[in-house]
Amino acid sequence: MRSMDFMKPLSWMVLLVAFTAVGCAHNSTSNLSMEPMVPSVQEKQVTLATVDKNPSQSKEVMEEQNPPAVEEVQEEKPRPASEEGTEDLSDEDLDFEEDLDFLEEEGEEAEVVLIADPLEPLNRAIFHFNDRLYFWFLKPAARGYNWVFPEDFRVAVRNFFVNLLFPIRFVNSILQGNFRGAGIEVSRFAVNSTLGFFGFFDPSSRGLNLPMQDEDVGQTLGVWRVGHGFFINMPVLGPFSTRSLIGWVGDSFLDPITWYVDPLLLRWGLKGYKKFNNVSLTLGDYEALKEAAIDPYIAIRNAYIQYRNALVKERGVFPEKVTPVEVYSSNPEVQRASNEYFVAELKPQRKEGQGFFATFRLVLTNKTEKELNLDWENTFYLLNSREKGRFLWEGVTWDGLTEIRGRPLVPIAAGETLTAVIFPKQLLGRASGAAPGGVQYTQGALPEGENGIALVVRQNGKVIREKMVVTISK
Amino acid sequence: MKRLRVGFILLVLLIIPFHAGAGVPLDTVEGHVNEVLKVLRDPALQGEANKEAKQERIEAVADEMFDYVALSRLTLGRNWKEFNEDQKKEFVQLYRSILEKAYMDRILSYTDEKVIFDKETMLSEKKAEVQTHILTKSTEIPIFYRVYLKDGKWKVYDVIIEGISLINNYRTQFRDILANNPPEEVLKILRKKTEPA
Repeated sequence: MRSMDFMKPLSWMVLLVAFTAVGCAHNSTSNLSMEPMVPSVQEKQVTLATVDKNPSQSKEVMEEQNPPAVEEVQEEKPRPASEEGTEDLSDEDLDFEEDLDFLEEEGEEAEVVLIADPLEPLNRAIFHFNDRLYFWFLKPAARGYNWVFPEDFRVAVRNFFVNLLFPIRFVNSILQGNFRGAGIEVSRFAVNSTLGFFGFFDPSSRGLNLPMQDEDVGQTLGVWRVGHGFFINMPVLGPFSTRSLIGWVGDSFLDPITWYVDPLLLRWGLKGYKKFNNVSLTLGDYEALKEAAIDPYIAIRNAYIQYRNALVKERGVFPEKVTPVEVYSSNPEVQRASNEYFVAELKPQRKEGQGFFATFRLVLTNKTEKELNLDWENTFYLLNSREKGRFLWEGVTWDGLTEIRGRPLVPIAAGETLTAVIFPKQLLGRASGAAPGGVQYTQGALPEGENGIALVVRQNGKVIREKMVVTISK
Repeated sequence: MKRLRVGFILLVLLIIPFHAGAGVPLDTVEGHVNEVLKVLRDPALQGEANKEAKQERIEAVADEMFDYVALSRLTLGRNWKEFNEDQKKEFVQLYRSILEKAYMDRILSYTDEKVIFDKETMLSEKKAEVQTHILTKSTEIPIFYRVYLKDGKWKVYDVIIEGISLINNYRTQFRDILANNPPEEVLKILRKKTEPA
């Protein structure tokens, strides 16, 4: 609701105030929500593997990890996850100039923001309708209204309606587990209804530092990890997602006007006036947005979703780790191999907090009296009986990847045991931003099927080969 | 001994604020924004007659503040590679004028809103986010600048207003066009849009 204000504005950086207009657009009508996830997006996301924790195959998981990044949808060519996920890191990838490098990452990360829009033709038609409605009726009417009533009056009217919607913000703060926010709302309501003269003034926000908690049912659903669904442009009301539309209906049940104003006509009249008054305070925003856009429809759709995402992100989705829908399991859990030289154990390990496997723990014990050498150069990752590149191990940095060419033989002294956490280079993705220790990649999920290792160990020129495979399934 | 330790802790506490205080990214953004505000408030530049002069001065600051190449590159994402050298150059120019043209009027309509510089967050060694907000009579608008270190200077490569990223927003628009059209088509649209009316 604060967003509905972006009045005329602003100063310079404003460079884009326009975008904010969108926020207003819907927000004044009420509230809604955000969040992503449409199957196709999902795929895309998996593939990009840009975020360090991420190439999960699980929708839930992804949502929680990257709430901001998700939303629009139509990828031109949604490549299958496997394809991109398994793209080998060529030297070209690795040798990128550094400062340009991050731009690239950023670009990919941003690439993902879209929402499904199966109704696009209809939505666009409604967009034109709303556009005409605005320029032909709403704007001239608002201009007349502005001419008659000074801005201060209109701000007071807006404050009054905002104050009246206290139940929406209060209830949703609680539903989002934000009890402090709920408390702030109670204080605000008490202060603004009295000192603020029935809510026409808002002494809470400025003087008392009690900021409005801009929460609504749509956001609550987002916090609960409900996805956006698809984009719906409503006549008169403007942009919604499926989720925010449901939220909007929910909100109206928390709106005192719905309960206490009879008859119906007066009720709708009041709600309409509320919206009209808001529009009168933001004339010019929509025009600026349209002017700045290459394709105003897409600009608004994207801005709306980004805005809703930001609102939910601000609060944070519920922290409990919901068990991902797709939990992978490994059969057997640990694979063992033994020969006269060594005993080996291979155990797939889940990615922290995730339902999928990303690494193996390899334990190798030298049974002989002499040194054994583990030959990483000739040891391969096996996927469904095929060799799919080599392994990397924990602690290797992004820069280190380039130098790993001449892999040394790793010695294991007589009777000693070597333990290593390894992962297929094939499945690596680029992480966005450098993690502590300079690690800039993220391990991808071990796909379903037979995953394993074709191990090569040497002793005095003798080569000992051993294969260990586990079956990974959902 | 104990006293010494307390003394040491106090010393550390005294020092910390200086380090934790505004860093270079925030200072850089603040400097540019203040320059613009100065131009806007300059009594010598008031009135319709000086509009053009004002505009030029602001554009000069913007050129210093923004890295339009990075902005363009990020906006196009993967499609950047589809553009040849000349097309890239032209795109950067056109995109820049679109942004300037679209927002200049709004910037010029600035009156007495206050800009508050909240904080900076380092996103990596060479990237930072500077958080600011504008306080108007009736509302507050958060505006975040994403900056990165380029040749020793912090340059803006994205602006996020109310959670809406500029490059992200344009990206979806260009991508839609580029899905079925060659880069030339985008340039054609941009040329048309930047033509003086």
